[in-house]
Amino acid sequence: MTRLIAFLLMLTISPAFATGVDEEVLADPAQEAEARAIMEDIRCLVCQNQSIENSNADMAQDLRRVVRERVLAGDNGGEVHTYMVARYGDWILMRPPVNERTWYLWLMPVFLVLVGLFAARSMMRRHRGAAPTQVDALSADEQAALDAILEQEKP
Amino acid sequence: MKVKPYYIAPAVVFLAIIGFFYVGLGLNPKETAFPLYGKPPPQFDLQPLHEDQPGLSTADLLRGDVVVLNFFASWCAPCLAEHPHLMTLGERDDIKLYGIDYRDDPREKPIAWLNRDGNPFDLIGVDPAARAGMEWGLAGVPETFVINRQGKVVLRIQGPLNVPTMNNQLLPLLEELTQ
Repeated sequence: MTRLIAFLLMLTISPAFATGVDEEVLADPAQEAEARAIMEDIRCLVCQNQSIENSNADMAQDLRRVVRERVLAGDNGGEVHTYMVARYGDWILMRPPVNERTWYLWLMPVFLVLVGLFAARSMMRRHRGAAPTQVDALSADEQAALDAILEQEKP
Repeated sequence: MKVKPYYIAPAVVFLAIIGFFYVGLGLNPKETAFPLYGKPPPQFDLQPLHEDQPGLSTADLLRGDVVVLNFFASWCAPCLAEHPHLMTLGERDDIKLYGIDYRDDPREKPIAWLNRDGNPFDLIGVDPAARAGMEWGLAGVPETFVINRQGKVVLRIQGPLNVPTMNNQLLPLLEELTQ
């Protein structure tokens, strides 16, 4: 019983969602929410696989301040992304954009599925095409031998 | 068993994957993109570190000199490590060496540091809020940029200058640019 309770309690654990803490946030909640959404897609330079939205590194704070400034100045998400990419390259975006350097990356899953389908099709075709094994009729001798065996087996 | 050509396909795919890994894992994930390459330096205008000296702005990089621009901070240990190389560069008359004091403590600390270990810079600007650093796409300190006589950014070295980066990258390029 104790174990069951412990197990059930364990299921109630929720992951801690880290967020960067800033002293100054935008006064307008809608703008702040928009800025936060933009931050989620901008990579923190020093923590590599975190967005600046959930990092407390100094550099993430600097970038968050700039994102807020841009949002306050009326930039939309795309414009803020363009601003960041112009300075840091595509890498700054958590989701790599589709462009001449990344298209094959994005198309690779589609390509692999197509290869798989093609392989499966040719395999199935080969199996269907194979005629059932032809069995030659027994010769008279063989038939006689078989009859003899069957005769013996009879109770 | 009859060997069909496509039986070697898994081996080919495997070798291709190994090839990608070999190249990909050899890259330095701390090195970020360099979109400024071949472009004019970004706009910035910074207050001086020493109050009796001029500050540093984009215009200083566009006077037709070969410029080495170094981002440093007094709290940054690798900056201390690369300092002797900067001292060597500072002795040269054929280039300008400018510094940007990045996100540093109050002025006393970097000034005290430069007084102790030497000040190789011709001009130093302070970038307390990292705004200039952001324009340069800085991912940390130290970083070093080279601007050619035509006013284009032509080299970026992320991390401290050391003997290999000096001898293989910076010095040969300066040789070429100052001719």
